[in-house]
This record gives sequence, structure tokens and C-alpha cells, in this order.
Amino acid sequence: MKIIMLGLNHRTAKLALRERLAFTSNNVQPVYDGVHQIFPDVERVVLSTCNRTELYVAGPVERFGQHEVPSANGTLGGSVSSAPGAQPLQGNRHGTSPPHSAPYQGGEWGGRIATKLIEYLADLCQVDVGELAEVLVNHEGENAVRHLFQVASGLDSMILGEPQILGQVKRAYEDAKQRNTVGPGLHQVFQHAIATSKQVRSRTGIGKGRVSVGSVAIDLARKIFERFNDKVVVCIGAGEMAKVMLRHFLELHPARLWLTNRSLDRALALAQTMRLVPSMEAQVDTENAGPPAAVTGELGGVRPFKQLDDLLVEADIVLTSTGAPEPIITAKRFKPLMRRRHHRPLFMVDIALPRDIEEAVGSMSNVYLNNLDHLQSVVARTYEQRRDQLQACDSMITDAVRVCISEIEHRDISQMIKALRKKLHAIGGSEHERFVRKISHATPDELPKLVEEHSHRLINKVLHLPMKALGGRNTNAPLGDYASVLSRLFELDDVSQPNDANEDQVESVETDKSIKAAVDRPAAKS
Amino acid sequence: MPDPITTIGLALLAGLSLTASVLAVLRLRRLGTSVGLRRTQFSLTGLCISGTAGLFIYRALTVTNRWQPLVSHVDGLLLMSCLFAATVLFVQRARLKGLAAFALPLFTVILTWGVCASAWTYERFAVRTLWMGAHSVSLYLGSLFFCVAAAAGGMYLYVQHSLHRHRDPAAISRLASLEAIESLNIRTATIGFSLLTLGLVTGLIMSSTGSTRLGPQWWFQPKIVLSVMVWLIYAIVMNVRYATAFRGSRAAWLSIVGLVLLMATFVIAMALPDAPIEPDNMQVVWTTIGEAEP
Repeated sequence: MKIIMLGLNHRTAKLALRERLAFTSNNVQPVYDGVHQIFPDVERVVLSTCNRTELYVAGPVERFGQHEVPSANGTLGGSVSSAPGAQPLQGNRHGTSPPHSAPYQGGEWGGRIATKLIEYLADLCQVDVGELAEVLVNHEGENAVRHLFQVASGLDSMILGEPQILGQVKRAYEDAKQRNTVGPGLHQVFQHAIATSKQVRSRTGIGKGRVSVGSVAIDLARKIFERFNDKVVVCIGAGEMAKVMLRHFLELHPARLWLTNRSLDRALALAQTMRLVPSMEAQVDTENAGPPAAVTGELGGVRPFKQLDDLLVEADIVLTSTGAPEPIITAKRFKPLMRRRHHRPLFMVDIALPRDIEEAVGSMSNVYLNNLDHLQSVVARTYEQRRDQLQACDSMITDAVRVCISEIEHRDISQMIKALRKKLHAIGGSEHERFVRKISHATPDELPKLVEEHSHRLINKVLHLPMKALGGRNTNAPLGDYASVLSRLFELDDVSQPNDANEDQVESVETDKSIKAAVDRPAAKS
Repeated sequence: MPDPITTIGLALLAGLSLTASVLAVLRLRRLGTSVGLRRTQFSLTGLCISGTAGLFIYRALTVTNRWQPLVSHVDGLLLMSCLFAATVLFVQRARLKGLAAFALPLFTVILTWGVCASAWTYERFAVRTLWMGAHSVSLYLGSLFFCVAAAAGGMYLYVQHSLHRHRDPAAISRLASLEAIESLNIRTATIGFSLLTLGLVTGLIMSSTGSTRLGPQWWFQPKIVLSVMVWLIYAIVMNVRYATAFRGSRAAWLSIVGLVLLMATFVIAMALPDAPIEPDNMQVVWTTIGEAEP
């Protein structure tokens, strides 16, 4: 069985091209149909996520229009990187290209198959063929299996060890199963990939720890507070970072979430984006005299910056991300507020640069202050720990790939043996019929000769195909390979040498002739 | 008479508890994260609980052979340690993961104290009245809750220190949150306080009346003074949400200090005879088995 992977990912292609080749379950059917038209009855699975689109195709060699398959990989053109193979990953957080995931050159056979698929995909997605060929990655056989295992384990992801990819691989596989495009080959490969990914994640630390500042902040909040449904979150600032942090903290379902900012309009816009206030009409009237009223919704809302002290008294969690050049929360300002708070614990996250909260505030009792450095150091440590696990993961994947390939080969071989038995039984069956017909009219004296003739015919018919292959008439493969295989299979003493090819060819032709003569002679008599 | 089976049993259990403590601390420091380590720790803890319960029952049936089995400090320590470890296991499974790392060392200390009390300072309680029974049971049960509060206090300080030092949250991911620990501290301090109050009241009744009377200035006896101090400390701890100046690490420290004072009270009560302030008309309370009561 041959397995091919063809695809692009975040390392090889820019977002603009990736999004043109992104498929959902609603629009992926043409890909499956197209592959079926090009290579009828092959197994196929399409994996399409925000960072990659990959096509896995598998089937017997003859379904791809080839009878002999060399071990080299296909030519694609485009840029060349290092050679394929079982090389360990070097760490891929910052967009470096590990060897297995970059375009490369290879041999002729896979290139023809990939080219047909590329042409089809380019036509389907209205993309230039040349542009597509530049960015597509092609793997075959063991490399294709290894690549899938690495993808499923999160080793090829933009965020090393991210867990979502396993679910995406499973969904792609299930989707393909429902479309009846998965056969025993890809079934085995994908099942192994999913199982291996789970083992890799559970036995190594590749998926452990947090990889974003927001999730680290959430973890820290969970170490201080048990419940959040009675907690008040205050966000000072209305920029992009504030929005990111707010999204994380909204998932905790706090009792109230207040936004405040020097520019109330920006805070209001952010509150409406986060659905904290009901509608655009609920604008704060900043033109009137007197302090503007707060704008509130069910979950919280916007309050004027003047009420910052009151907000700091009410808050259990404070997020700050303003562009203020000086700290807005100083120790002098905050100390009296702590008494008003009854010394309740306070978790503060300051992701502004320059900082919004004076460091001395963090030294106060029951105040837990974390700035950008603290959070980013945790994230950096996580990545370091994950990179340390790469070797262990690679080792596990290598073993798993070996097992998977071995199972596929065993399955292929057992099917081949069944086919061989069937063929030989067919030969035996037809000769048996002929022999029975012959002996029904024969005299007892003719029987020994008929039995000998029958034996000769059986042997010649069985040997006819391997002799033909050995004669080198219908194959481009080296003669020595076939000779050595036959020698091993039939436990012969002498193995044909390549420099005796001419002599062997003459002999095989003679043998073929004698086979032909032996086969034809009894037919002429009857 | 000291019972050798009790002494040997307590010594073995103290050794097992020490091993469990070491494993718990290793797991806390993430020096051992295997499932096998966790199972070994829990198995050893379970064995210690069963062992202490078994020894208590053995003593109740064979050594003391009374309806009220608390006749010596050893019995009290056995009861206290068994219930303490069982409470910690229950609390830990429910919500407060990681408490064992702070409670098991305390458990080891109590068992070791039991070995000393059994082997070298064994003495039955001199007074065998209903008030004494109520007094000792409430004190020992109250103490076990103070032990849980102290373990929670230790855990609070550890988590708080890790947060202030900006350690990786993954390093303390197994431990409960500060809010949960504080809540446990308050609850156990409240229960312990109630039992300690009962113990104090019964003790005061015994100290000031009848044949157990300590004299006109009984209130100045060391164990009385220390007991009242412990009572005051836990009165603050259980009300820390209102006495907010003590909130957070101060309450945690108070829980630990309170337990130390409580242990000191026990040591003084068991080891030192009560010295009346005015010796000429006071009765000496401490008698040993076999001495005639005045």
C-alpha cells in the first residue's frame, strides 16, 4: 500500500493562500470527489485547520497507475530544504522550519501523483499552479505517517504541544469515515496517530503548562480565589491587550465586570464589543455639566475614571493596560483603600508598559501583583519545558511509526499471500480439469507419462510469471533484486550476479522458450 | 503501667507516618510525580489511620477496660491522631488538595509524642469524674481541629509565599486556593473553638470546685493561663473575616502559634504538678495510681 501526504501549513504558506485552501465540512466534498476521479477507489482524508490543509491519500500501488514503486519521493519544484527522513524536531515555536514540514525535492514517481493533485486543487481553489507548488509539502510512505503522528501530537503546531489539533485530526477522520473515503489503510494510520498522540501527551510534558499571558493570569487568579461568581473584576484601559485579558476573565463568570478609562467613549466601545452594556444608544453624556453617570448592563458596565478609588475598593481582581506614562495606582493612593477594603485579598494584573501600578503596591499584605514580565516568564518557561520534551516525543513517535508501518506491511503481505494462493489454486484447478479429461480416455500404460506431463505443466505454469519478470521484459527494476528475492524465497544456493545479466537473460529466454514449448506440446497433442 | 504493645505500635506507626510525610513533601516539591508515589503515600496514610484506630480500640478493650476509654494522655493522642488523619484525608479528597503535605508531618509529631507519653511519661489521669471525661474528650477533639487549622495555616503561607515570589503556577497547581484554605482555617478554628470552650468550662468547673479544686487563685495556674490564651487566639482566627486586620497570613500564623501554645498547655498540664499560689490550705491535685487521696 502507498500512503501520500500533500499539504501546506503556517510555515510554508502565508495566511492569504492558506485561507483559499481552507475547507470546512460543508465545502470539502469536491476535494474528495476530485481525488476519486484522478485516482479511483483510493482512500482519502482531508485535514483542514486554520494553520494547515493536508490531503492524505492511500491505496494499492496499481491504483496510482504504477506497478513498481521506487523509494524516492516526488518532485515538486520550488524551494529546497533538507532531506526527508526520521529527523528529530529542532523546536518550532518561532516559525523555523523543521525538516519534515518544508517543501523538498524527491524522485519522479511521487512527483507525478502530486502534480495531478496540485493541478486539481489549484483549479478548484482558483490559485496559480506554480504558486501552489511552491508552498506544498509532499511526503510518502513512512514519512507521511510520521508527519501525521507529529501533527496529531502538536509537534508541528504553531504553538508547540497545543491540544486542539488532536480534536481536529479526529474530526477530519470521522468526517472522512462518514463520506466512506476511509479504508483499512488510512483507518489504521489515523487510529494509530490518535492513540500515539494521547500517549505522547500523557507520558511527556509536551502539553503541560500555559502558553499565553491571559491563561497564566487566570491560573494565578484560581490560586487566590476559589469562586468567581461573587467577585468583581475591574479593567482599567480599553486597548487591544485589555480586550484580550477581558475575554479570558469573562470565562470565569464574575459577578460584575467594570470597565474604566480616561476616554470613556473607548471604554464604552469596548464594553459594547464584550457585550457588557446593551446597545449603542446607551451612551454616556460627557458634554453635560456634572459627573457622567455609569453605563451598566447585566454583567457590569462602564464607570467614569473619577470613580477609580471606589472601583479599587470594590474590586477583587484588577486588570490594567493603559498607556499612561506614570503609574496610576501608587502605594500612597492605595494604602488607605486597603483599610476600606477590609484587607480583602486583591489580585492585580498590570500588562501596561510603562507600568500602571507601583511595585510597592504588590508588597502590601493580601495584594498579589503580577506584571508583564512575571507572566511572560511563565510562558517562556513553559515553552522551554516543552522543547525539552521534543526528543522524548520524537522517540515515542519513531517507535509508533515503526509499529504502524509493520502492521500495514503485514496486512499487505497477508493480502498478497491470499491473492497468490488464489492465483495458484486457479492454475491448479484448470490443470486438474485438463488432467482429469486426459486420464479418462487414457490406458493404464499412458498414465505415468500423463502424470509426468501434468507435473511439468503445473511447474511451468507456476514459474511462468516469475520467469517472465526475471527475463526483464516488463519491468525496469534491477535484475539482481528479483534474482536475490527468488533465491531467498525458494532457498536456492546460487544468486544471479549483475555482471552475469546477459548470460542470465539468454538462459531465461531459453527457459522461457522451453516453458513455452512444454506448455504448447500437450495442447498440440490434445 | 506502660503497655509495650502500645509503645511499639505507636513507634511503628510514627515511622510509617514519617515515610508518608517525606513522600508528600517530595510530591509537593514536584520531585516525584508518579502515580506509584501517590498511591504509596495514600496507602501508608491509610495504614496509619487503621493502626491508630486499632490501637485505641485495643486499649479501650484490654488496657483501660472502661466505658470511657480516655484514661491517659496516650489514649487522647491516639484518638486525636486517628481522627486528625481521617479528617485530612476527607478534606483533601473533597476540595483541598495538597493538605496532606502539611498535615502528615504534624501527624508524625503527634504519634512521636504518643511514643514518649506511652514509654516514658505514662500516667493515668488522676481524676475520674464525668467532668473529667467531658473535659478530656472536648479538649482532644478540639485539638484535632486546631491541628487541621494549623496545617491549613502552613499551606496558606506556602501558597502565598509562592505567589509573592512569582513562581510558576504549575508548581502549586496541586494545592488549593488561598480562599479555600482560609475558609477551612476559619471553619476548623470555629469547631475547635467551640470544643475548646466546652473543655475550658468543664476544666474551670473542675479547677474551682470539689476535690479537684486548685485553690483560690486557680485562675493563675500556668495551664489555665495558657488555655485562655489559646482560646483568645482562636477566637480571633474564627472571626478573621470581621477582625480584618488579622486577615490573610496573620490568621495563618495565629493558627500555627495557637497550636504550639496548645501543645505547650498539654505538656505543662501533664508534666508539671499544679502549684497552688498559697500552699498552706490547698490540695495537691496530682496523684498517681496507688497514692491515697487527701
